[in-house]
Amino acid sequence: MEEKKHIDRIFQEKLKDFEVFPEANVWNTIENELLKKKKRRILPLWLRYGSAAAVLLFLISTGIWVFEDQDQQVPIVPNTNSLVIDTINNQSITTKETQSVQELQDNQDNVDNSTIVKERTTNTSSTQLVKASSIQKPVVINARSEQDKSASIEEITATTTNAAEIVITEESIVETPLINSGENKEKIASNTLLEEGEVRATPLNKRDLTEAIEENKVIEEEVQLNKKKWSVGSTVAPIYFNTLSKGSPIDASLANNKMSSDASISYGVKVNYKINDRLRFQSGINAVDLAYETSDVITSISSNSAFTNGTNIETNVNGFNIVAFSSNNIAVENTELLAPQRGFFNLKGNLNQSLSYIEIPMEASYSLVQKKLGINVVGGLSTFILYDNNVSLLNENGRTLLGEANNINDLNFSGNLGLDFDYSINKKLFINVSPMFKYQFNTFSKNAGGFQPYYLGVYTGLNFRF
Amino acid sequence: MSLKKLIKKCKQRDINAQSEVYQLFAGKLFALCLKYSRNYQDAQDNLQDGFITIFNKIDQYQFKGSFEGWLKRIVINTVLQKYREKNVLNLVSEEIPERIEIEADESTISLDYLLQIIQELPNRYRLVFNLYVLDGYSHKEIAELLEISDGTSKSNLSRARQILKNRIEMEGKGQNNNKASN
Repeated sequence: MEEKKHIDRIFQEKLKDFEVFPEANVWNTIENELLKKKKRRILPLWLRYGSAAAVLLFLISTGIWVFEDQDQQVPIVPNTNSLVIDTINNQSITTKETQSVQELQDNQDNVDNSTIVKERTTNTSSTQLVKASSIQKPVVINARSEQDKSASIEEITATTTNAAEIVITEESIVETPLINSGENKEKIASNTLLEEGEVRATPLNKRDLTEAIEENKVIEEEVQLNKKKWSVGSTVAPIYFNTLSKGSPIDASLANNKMSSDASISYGVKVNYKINDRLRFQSGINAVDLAYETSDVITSISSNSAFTNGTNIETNVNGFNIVAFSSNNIAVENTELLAPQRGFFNLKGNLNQSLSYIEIPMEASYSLVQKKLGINVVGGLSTFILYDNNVSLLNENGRTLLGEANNINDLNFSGNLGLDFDYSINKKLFINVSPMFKYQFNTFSKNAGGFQPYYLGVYTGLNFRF
Repeated sequence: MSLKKLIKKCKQRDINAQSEVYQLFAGKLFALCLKYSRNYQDAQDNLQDGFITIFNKIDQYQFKGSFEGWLKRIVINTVLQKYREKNVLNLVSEEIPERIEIEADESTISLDYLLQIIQELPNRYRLVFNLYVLDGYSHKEIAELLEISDGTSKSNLSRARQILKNRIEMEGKGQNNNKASN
């Protein structure tokens, strides 16, 4: 009975902490299978769009970019470089430890050196193997000590720092006859070389490691090809600029005048980063020229500031102010007769206000359809930096620059919402068309006259994935 | 991230979480597969199928008992399922084994060799030996799992031990001879 237990115990002990990492392609197969299953679970259409809408609301209300998902990212292929270093470290440790054990043994008489060296070698090779397990290469591991030793030895062996302690503990267990200390070194040397299992195991493991590293490099490249995370592209968009409510930022009295968007345009570059299968983060830089026209306006220049308080135009002529008022209210044909009462140098025409910004969008995009034609919902924020601002009057005589608006903030923001359609030309190139609605806030420092600017743009561009 | 959180994400079919769980347990589970399978390739296939089952059935894990234990049971069941499908378990060998006397110096036996001789056991011997000796199943449980009788399980185990013993002794002798010649 005892003998039977014995064979069971051999296996139980040796295989107790047995751990082997499979080849990398095993996970790839599993992943493919899992993703296939996932795709097969087709959601009802309403649920799909419903959830998309919910995501969108969530994005907008929380200020959008949810970076949390980034920490879920697990590199599928471990960093092979750090592994190489690990291996090297282990080797040097092995050498050092063996030396220190040898030195100690010179002073120790009654020690079974072969056992110690073996113990040490086993220990270090198992460390290497544990490392090896993380690079997904099959290697047989025996983390157990070779002999059935007391727990205290295992502990000390595990810490692997104090060689002296190990030697002392060994001493108490060793059953083999005493060995002359003079012969120790030689004996150790031959043991280290001839101990079959060890000598065979260590170089084998190293080779496995090198192969594994090479293999992983190849795999890593493949993985990267399959999972292009970045894309860059150009964008250009005609812009329709308008206000949500009636009002004029130039002068409250112009609120009822007809306003229209003037040729506005936005162009720039766009960068897109894939956070996970569905979610992407996009940013970039755009130049935006916004312009709109207020029809039927008369402007005068006046030195009377009380008279011009309501108008937010600052002229570059010192000491003079500009006043703008609607010509609709003046039922007199010859405005030039009437105007001098208020000021001089009257002009009648359409007032053009143009603002130029550098826009930096920060947007999240959630993918609804991922086919050759992809559909995404986009939401985010943009920061606008003002770099040009002018007000001019257009009439049959041409354009007269009046000055600049004095109620525009240098920095303002917009909330963005829209759709994004991608059409893949090939694996690397895709065209995208993205109608966006951008609602601006903090545009005016004062007296916005109820003007709530927004703009619509259809951004199109050619993008490059990498 | 805690394991619990990870498991919850796996329940939501989050591929990143699934990958992380794989990274955490593949080493142990592959070792398990190697012991239960005939060879390396079969072990990989079993591991693959095991993990796919794990992720498909992860909803059934209710955070009772160890997760690792649950994973192991699924993998073992996946392996057993295959042998049931192939019907290879029905070869009956009810012979009463002779008394086993084992005398081997275990320190000279490498783990590779032990693994090799386990893999080379006939299918049912290998499964019974693994279940009983390495994973602590009772003969009654094994009998249910493999759809055999208690007696068959016991006799299979004895046969397995006998074969393993012979091979260990052979290897032991081989090594002694090597040492002598050196």
